[in-house]
Amino acid sequence: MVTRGRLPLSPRDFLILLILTRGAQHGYGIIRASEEHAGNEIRFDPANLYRALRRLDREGLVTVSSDPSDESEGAARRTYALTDEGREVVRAESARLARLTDTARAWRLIPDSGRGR
Amino acid sequence: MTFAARVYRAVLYLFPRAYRERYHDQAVSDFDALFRERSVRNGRFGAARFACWCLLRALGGAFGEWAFTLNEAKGPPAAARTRPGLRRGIFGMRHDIKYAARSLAKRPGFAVTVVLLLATGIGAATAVFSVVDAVLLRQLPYPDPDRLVYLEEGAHPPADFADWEREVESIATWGGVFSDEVDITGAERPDRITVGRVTPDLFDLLGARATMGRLFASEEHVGDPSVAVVSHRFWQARWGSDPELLGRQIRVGDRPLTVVGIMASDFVVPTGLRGRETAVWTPLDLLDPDIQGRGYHVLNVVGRLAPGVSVEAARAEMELMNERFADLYPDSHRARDGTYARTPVVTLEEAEVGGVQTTLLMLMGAVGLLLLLACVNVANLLLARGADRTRELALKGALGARRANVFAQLTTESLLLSLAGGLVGVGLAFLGVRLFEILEPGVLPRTESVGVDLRVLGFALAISVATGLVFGLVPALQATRVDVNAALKDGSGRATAGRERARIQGSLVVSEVALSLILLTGAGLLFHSFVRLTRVDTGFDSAQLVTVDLQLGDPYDVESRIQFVEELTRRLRVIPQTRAVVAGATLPFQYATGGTCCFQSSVSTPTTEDGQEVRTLLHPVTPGFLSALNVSILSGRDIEPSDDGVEPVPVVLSEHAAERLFGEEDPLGQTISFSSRQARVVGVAGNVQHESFNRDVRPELYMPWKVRGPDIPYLNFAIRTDLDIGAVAPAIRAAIWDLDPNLPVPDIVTMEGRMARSVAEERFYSVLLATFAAVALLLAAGGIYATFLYSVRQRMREMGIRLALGARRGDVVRLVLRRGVLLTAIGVVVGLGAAALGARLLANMVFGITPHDPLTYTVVSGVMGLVALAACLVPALRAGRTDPLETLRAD
Repeated sequence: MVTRGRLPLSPRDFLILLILTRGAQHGYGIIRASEEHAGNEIRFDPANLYRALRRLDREGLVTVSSDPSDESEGAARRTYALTDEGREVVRAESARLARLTDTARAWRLIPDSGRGR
Repeated sequence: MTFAARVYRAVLYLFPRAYRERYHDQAVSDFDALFRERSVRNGRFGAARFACWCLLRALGGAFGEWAFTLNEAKGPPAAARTRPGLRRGIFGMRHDIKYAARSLAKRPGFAVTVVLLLATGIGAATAVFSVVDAVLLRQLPYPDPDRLVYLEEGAHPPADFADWEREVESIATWGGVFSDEVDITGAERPDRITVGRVTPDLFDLLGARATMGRLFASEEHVGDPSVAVVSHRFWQARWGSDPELLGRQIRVGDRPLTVVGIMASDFVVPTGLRGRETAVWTPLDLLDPDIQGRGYHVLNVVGRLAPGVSVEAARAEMELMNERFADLYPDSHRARDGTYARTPVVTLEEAEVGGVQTTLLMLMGAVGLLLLLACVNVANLLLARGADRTRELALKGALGARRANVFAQLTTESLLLSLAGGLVGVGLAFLGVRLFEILEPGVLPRTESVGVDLRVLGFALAISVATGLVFGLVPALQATRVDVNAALKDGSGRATAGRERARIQGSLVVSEVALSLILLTGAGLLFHSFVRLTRVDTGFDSAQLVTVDLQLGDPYDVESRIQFVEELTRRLRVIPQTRAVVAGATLPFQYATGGTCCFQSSVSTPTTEDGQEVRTLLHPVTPGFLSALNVSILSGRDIEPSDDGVEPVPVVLSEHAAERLFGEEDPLGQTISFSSRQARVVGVAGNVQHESFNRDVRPELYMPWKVRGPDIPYLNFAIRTDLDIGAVAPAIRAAIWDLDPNLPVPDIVTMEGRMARSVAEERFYSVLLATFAAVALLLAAGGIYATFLYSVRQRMREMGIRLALGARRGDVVRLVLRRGVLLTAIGVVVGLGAAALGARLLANMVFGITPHDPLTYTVVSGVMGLVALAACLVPALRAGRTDPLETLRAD
């Protein structure tokens, strides 16, 4: 499987990939989306976000493309999108986390979401 | 772009070029957008917090990125690796920290030295920053302080104020304070205090609150109600914070006032409004008939700008007002030469701290140099230590550690050291701030809030991290360039990197000398200037002279003042060991720190043409004044008792006045006129530096005290005594209170004390800079000594061989010294150049010399040279004492 050896993902990587499942984004968009969905728990600063994105690109989970239609300050903005591999990895990781939380729920560590046993 | 984004952009320059080419602009623009959005959402502090977090993360990212880059240089990562580069996450970092701590613990002496060096630099920088922060950076403690403005050029007439309040549109709210020196009497001892009479809106404008009771009601600003608000400090000092004071009556200016409130302790009145000294506030009635004169300049004015109006607009509107008033009231608002009174509008902040900005920034620069010097020293030590670890690092390399990891390891060590240094430094900063509170002579505004608080701690943390990266970078890069093979083969650990290391150390020594020299030059200039200042010939003898300044206000009149002076002179003469007792309307150095001295008048001779009168200081003095002060009588005589009531008035001119009025002619016996009086010159006295050390000498005239003296309440006694002030002051006070128990006697000081106070500011900065320079000299000497000691040790083998081959010990010593001389010379030249450039900043602070004073520069270079040579002499001598057999054997 393509995902062997890649899991578990670090929380930051996971969040980035998760955000990108909703569509390609610029760096700024990723930070804003993370503020919305992860609040104060996981935060990105611009400089290190780009380092993480570059790494994910090298690992083949994300692609970078310049969007010529969106010119800001002379340099074309970069857009980041999930590759198929990336999509598989984030799905696999979500499933892994879901299994863990199921166990936690079964052991009464977190409350039921109300969906019945 | 916001300022925060600019800073962020600057920090991102720490990243390697490859990263920057791809991401720099984008990251900065993202940060800018996020920062703006945070400002709107979370306000200033939320945005500031976000900015600080991003900056710190960027620093960490830079370090990680460099490690990544170095690793990349070794070749592309294996494709199947999950985490190429330095992705060890927090586990890796913890390992680094543990390893660093262990490795430092193995050399505790080294670690402690480095930490102390850094603590000195960081502590000093933090202490100075806490002052700069409190005085310059922090906002004024009033509601909406950016909208507050101050009307300059002294005090203004209350009648003008009333008009401005009505008519000026760009300033919405106006507030003013009329400060006066008044006596407070009553059960406790009499004292002279500053009373501030305030207009209705002043307290609101400044957000004042009462901690007990209340402030004034608007009805109380009409008529003359007898109410008062006491300042917190005065309440503590005079009544020991007695809560029973509320509602009681106090006797101020011979009037009973009811205390209706105590001001909150955190209320800080701007210095422009005499806030520091004001003890009691009373309400001011702007319609009070006594203060309606258009020439009655008594009100210090602040205001709040109307919403949306800029300071420039207010300034422009006030200029138009000034012009209008000059036309409406030419007698009071226009000068003889046609110019009119101006009231420039400046922001309150500018009025408060504008004057000290340059000085404080200069201090910050000086302490920054000190910190840099400490860093250079530490870098030097680390380089030396890096050499000792060559084998250890080579081994690690051979066993597979990546350069990046080693680099990260060493940088972690540096950061650990610098953070430890920062911790100790903060402790030193606390001490420094305490010392500052004790020693600061009161010239800086807003010093109440100086302290080590969260912001200052944040600064300390930031510079600790920064210094760690600065001094750690070069040695770490150097150390990781080790050639593994050569290092392992060469048993004693001397790699070819040693030559490069020596070169770097050499340039570090040069920097140390240069940096020290800059600080020494600054200190030298201030010191030289201070000496020049205090060596100015004052024209009188200030030793063993005790002064008392009194105010004989109501109920004294001319007759009773004359009686008082005669009686008190008699009583003071009786005090044992008193040589002379004289009095005058003012004494020298009384107004050294500001205010206008003395009566002045235009003096003319019968032959003076119109417009050529000489503006002269007039001194009403009791007989024998000049002899008592030991002013030289150049011709004629002093004022004598028989001069009382004589017409024309017998006067003594100062040499300067005589020259201006009579030129080469003999002034004795000549007639002059001033203030519609006729006078006859009976003596010429030497010039006296009447106002302060650095003001130009003015023409002066001495006349019998009973002429004009009793017209004013101000009176000063000068007593030449063989006793010291502790012994004679109680006797003086007793004599005064015997005559009038209700007379406040606030100040009995020696003349020398007064003179010292007049230069307190110059002394303070001199001492401060001298301290920095002394520490810098110590650091430089220590650094040079350590560097040469180390280099001699490294070259032991070479020395041994030379000696074995027949070199004399003196030659070996000279070899070492030659390098020392060369490096010192280069350092001195560079330092002098830099000092000469920077000395211009001190142009305003030096007296009697230029910022490029050759004597100072020469002396300072000489001192630096000697110290540097002394520092490398000991290692040189040690080199000479090498035993060739020992070294050759030990190889």
